[in-house]
Amino acid sequence: MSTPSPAADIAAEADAEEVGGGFSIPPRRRPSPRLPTELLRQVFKGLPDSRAVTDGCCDLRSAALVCRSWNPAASERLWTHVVLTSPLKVRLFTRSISGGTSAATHAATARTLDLNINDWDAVENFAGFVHLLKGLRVFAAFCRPVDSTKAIERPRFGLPIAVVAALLSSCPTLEVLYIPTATLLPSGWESDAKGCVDGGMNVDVDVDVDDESDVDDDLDVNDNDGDSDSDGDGDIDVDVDVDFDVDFNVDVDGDGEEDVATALSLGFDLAAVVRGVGRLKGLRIQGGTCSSKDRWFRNLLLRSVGPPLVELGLSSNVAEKVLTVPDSQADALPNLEVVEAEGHVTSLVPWLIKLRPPLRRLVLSNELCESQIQLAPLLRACPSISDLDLSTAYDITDATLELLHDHPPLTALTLEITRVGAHGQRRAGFTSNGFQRFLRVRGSHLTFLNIADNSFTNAELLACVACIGQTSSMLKILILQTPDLRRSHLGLDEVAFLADLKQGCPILRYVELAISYYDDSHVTEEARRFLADIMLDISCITDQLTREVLMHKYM
Amino acid sequence: MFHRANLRNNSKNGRSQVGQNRNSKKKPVAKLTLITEDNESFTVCKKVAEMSMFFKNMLQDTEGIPAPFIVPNVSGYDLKKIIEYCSYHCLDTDCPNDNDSLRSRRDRKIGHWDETFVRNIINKDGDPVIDNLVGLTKAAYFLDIPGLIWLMTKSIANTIDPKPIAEIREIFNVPVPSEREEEILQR
Repeated sequence: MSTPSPAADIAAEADAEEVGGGFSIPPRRRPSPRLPTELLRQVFKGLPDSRAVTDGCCDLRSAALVCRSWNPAASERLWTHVVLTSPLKVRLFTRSISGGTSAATHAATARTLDLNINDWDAVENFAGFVHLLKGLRVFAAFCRPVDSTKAIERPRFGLPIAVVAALLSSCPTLEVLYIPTATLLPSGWESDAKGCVDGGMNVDVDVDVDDESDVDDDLDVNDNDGDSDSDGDGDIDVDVDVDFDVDFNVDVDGDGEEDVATALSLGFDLAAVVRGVGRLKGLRIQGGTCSSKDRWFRNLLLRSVGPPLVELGLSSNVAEKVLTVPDSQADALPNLEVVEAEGHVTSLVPWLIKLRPPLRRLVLSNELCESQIQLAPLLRACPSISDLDLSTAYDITDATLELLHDHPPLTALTLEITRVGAHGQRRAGFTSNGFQRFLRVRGSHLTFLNIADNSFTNAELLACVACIGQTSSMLKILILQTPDLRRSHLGLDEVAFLADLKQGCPILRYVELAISYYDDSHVTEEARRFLADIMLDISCITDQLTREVLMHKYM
Repeated sequence: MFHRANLRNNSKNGRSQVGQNRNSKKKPVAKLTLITEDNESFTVCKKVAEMSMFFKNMLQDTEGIPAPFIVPNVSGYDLKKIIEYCSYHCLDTDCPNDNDSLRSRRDRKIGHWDETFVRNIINKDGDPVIDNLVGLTKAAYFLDIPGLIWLMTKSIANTIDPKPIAEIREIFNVPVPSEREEEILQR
């Protein structure tokens, strides 16, 4: 055996001692080697799934087309996890699931549906096909970033309410729902209702009539002549420069009859949707620019979450459109472990204090001071939090860190101050001494620490690093700014301090220095060798590692 | 024999614990004799054999080492490679050999030793490479060795990816389907 390993020796020795004598000869096998279906499934699992990033699903589709015996196993994976990245693909998909018994079987096979499109106007009546996806468990829609010129050309970039309502009311196994901002322009919500009617729902809605009376004056519709058609060309003229946040006088808080009426006007069964939300284990909602009805619907989802909920994600990237968390109808959320709030989200902290969920991970990445004020009662209400991310724009001061002195030791902590001052300088946050005090009191269990955006001087940062080495022996991942950011290369001198750190944190495997601003080649060969010797990875510009990837790779 | 090989003092690889037992007077390591479908015979130590869930369960059921055991559906060549794999990995705590661990480490990469192991299959003369890969995969499946099944299926996937359909058919010696059959597949 040529293998330079102990096993090779083992095998060689074994060869010599085989009872049967002689060497094994590879046998002649059948002309066409066949794998059982179970093994084929595993082979196809090992194929990269390029559907989400490229314009096709060539690898798996190629496998499905090789021969009849391969087709079922490859198709199974194609159908179990459906990824649709363009309106054309959505249309092809809906056509393929609506053509007879075998098509219905395929449709029922789908467990995960990823939609990554932005032009929902190009997709006709998707809501009408949703009921065929009986076994669906995960639905995730993503919006690609669009530029403002295209925003004017296209009336809708988000997911129609009708589609979400249909998913919740007709997919009894749906557990995870990730949905982006619903609409960009006011005309968008009209197509919601169109989708419902086309989709065969039993509600006859005349959206124009219902809503014309509700339209607030701040929508600049030229309707002085009564027919909304000022130039007589048959089209309703809408000034697209208006504030898109049209107030339809919908009761956003929603109670009883008004909810039912609004749901009817949008063409869905309120009770069925509420039941569907109550079954969810994962819900992620984006706020941002959307119509009043979209906001009402979003609030309806948040109000209706039930005991099974494990993960909740909220985000809003538009300062003027704050995502407000409404009062939940549930008395308690006994399984809620992860809450991630990013951007302009409000009322979340009081909501959590009231419900006292057994949180494990909490992200408060917002700009609102209420979190700061209520952090102490929140930590008291949720002592199980072990992973805290305060990537916020409000001040994280020494007082904030002192609150953590009374909390059980955290295993993961992110402290990032995202806002810069009026003249571009970093806002002063917690001090090096305050951070070191925290480390000494509660730093012993940390496995993940991110203090990348602080206002420390080099000396202060190195003092913190030394303190980390003394207090956090279980640390595996550390993210911090590079001492002296303005250096154009990272040499041995810049990384030498990591040797001491590694002595105090023997299982440290990754340190992110801010060298990603530079090219990889700026890390000198000497520094690379040094890092290899102490078995430490540092970030590279090509890596672009997210927290999830880091956790997966190094934890 | 393989069990004796395992007793070699190999401190370089952190395996000295076993090596220290070589000359001690402790009871001898239990051995298992396996006879393949093509009548080749191998003797392995219990620890190596227990990498296979099939043998592990069998040894638990029989409460002891049975008489020479005939392994159907596995050729001598495949069993030799399997023993080579198990001998290396039976002491490797970093390499998961249970389905749960393998599931939780989906983006796992093929290790250096495993890569060489697979390359050696590829370099074997005689049969087309894929025949040996498939044969070994089936044998690992029959003997229920999760780590090896993962390695072999991943290697086959790497062989397929990113080749065009025609090439995949050629590798697997699959006849080109008729026009009608292709139409059915497309549908």
